[in-house]
Amino acid sequence: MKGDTFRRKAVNIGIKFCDIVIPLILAFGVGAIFSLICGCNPFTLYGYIIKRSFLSVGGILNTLGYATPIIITGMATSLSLKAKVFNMGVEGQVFVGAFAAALAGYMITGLPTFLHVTLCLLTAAAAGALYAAIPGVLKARLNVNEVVTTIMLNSIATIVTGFLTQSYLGTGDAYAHTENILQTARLVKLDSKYRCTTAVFIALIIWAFVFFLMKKTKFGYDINCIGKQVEFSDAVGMRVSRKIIWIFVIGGSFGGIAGATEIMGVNYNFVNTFSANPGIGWDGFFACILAGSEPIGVLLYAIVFGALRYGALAAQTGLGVPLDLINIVKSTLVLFMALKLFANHRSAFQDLLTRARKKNKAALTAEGEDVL
Amino acid sequence: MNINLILNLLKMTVEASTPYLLITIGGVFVARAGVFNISLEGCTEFAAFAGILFGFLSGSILVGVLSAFLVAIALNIVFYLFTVKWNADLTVIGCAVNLLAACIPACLLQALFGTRSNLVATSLIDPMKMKVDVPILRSVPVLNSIFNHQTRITYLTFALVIFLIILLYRTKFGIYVRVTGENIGAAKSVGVKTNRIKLLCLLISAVTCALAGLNLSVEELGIYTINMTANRGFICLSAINCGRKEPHRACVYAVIFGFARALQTILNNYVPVAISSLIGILPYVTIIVALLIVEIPNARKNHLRIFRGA
Repeated sequence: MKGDTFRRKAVNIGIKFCDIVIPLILAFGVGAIFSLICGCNPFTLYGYIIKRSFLSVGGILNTLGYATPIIITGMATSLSLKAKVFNMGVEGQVFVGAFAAALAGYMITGLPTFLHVTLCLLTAAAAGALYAAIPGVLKARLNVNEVVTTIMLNSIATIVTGFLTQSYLGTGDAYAHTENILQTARLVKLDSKYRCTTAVFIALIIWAFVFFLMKKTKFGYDINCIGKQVEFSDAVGMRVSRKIIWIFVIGGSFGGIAGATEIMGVNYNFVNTFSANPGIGWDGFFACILAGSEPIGVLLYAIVFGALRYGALAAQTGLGVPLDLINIVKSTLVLFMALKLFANHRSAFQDLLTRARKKNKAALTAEGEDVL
Repeated sequence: MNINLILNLLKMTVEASTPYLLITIGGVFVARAGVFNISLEGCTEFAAFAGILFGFLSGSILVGVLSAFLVAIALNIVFYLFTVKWNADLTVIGCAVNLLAACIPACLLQALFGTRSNLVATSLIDPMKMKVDVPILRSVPVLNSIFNHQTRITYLTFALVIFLIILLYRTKFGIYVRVTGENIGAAKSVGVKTNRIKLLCLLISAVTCALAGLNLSVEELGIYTINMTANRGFICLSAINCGRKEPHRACVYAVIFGFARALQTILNNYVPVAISSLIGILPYVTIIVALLIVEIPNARKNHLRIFRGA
């Protein structure tokens, strides 16, 4: 019996491993095809990305810098995905939060650094939470489809913040941006040459918070139940609609903070294109999907995505490969990961295995009979 | 109020509603078969891109049109295999397709032509010649200025909408589609091949999405630009939601959203430059308001306590 459970565990791990490795190979294979179309040897490209983003201290710091907002948005999404609520509005909340932080960064003066930074982050969180509450209330009270509303609100956020920057808050430069935030509102860079700031600690705190919330609290348990069976959770008396609103509000505040860290640590002013291609919120969303909204997985994928983001930028300047190539790898990865080929079709594979074993056994006994 | 302005607005409404109507009517079929397909957006984008790209490369519009259909159909077959056949999550796959639609055109344009923003094929396609002059309409005063000189696909759309509504409500196939969406177990128990029904619905939506994409890129402009679909797929999803998956109602909402888009374009000429970029939110706000108006009366009817407003 002991051997049996051990074997089952080994098979489980093997299946999980296959479900991660085979999609990776397929996705990078598709990426390789497009890389060849772009006229670049795929091995050179992937080697270049790995070399630039992992094999030096500066590279790692840059990777972490790009991964920081993705960790936060990934955790923001993971709460809602756990409850099977598709909050695709993190991108919009990132915009609103970044905008709020940029305003608070130069409009409020005369505060010491620590207070000012905290205030900016809180403003961003509040703005993101308020913005996320709209689809949350619509979903919880009126059952309006959240996918549609969040995506519409994303567009509205982009247009409105862009409009305000261009028409009222611009500084008269060629490209529209708000005034630079004050020194007191800036997050300190770990090394002034690289992208990584103290925001990475904020990201880790948020990560730990969500981890704790999901694994150790009643709220996390409730979220899990809502994701598994809404009707049941409702029937046993969980206040589901209130919880859905909370999920949106918490996710939204994290989205806002993610935007704020970009502004306060890297850009120092709000530009409408600060979260481009495919956007911090979307990267977090995909990291969360790939990890199945498990916190540790989100952290790992966020770092991988950060590396890809930085590596792609480096490859664009270094090898002349378009930035979008890496997005193709990302999206095909999501496509193949979602399949969970081995986990979902386990019984089919096991049937094959047992059939093969029986055949073997039959063959063996047949041989034995022959000998006898 | 200037009468010409109103006529112009209505004409632009017809123009803007065409892709909305097409995507919506195809999406209704998919939604009715119980597949929540958010990759309508990506499918349209791919078709728009393929139409211009292959047309430009081969030098013939026909090749472009055919390849747009092929690409859309291939994409939806992939979607069918992944979601219906192999049980992957619908929304996740839809998102991945949408992301692919955002990056593959950009990547190919960069690789083949060295720009990642647009592909101009006006040397091959003259958008002015794409407009059809209908002789019957010429003598009718108001209708002439609204409906005449539209593109071929626009006229095809009206026929297609009527045809597909009849298909859904008056034929055996339509009954199968509706049963599949409402109760898949019941459908299976009476021997309906639900997977095949879902595939056929996805193919219908592939054809309509391809038409919508062709209308956007090949017919209206002769240019492909990145992110040409501009959330039209999601707007049509909300039209389907607003119309409670009934094709005629969904189409009415599609036209309303088309009107919002046309109004945005017209207003752009009349407001100061500073505000003009703000007008862009008009379609989106319209949609959220429409969703609200539709859902508020329904909120009381829901069986679940959670969605009744606790």
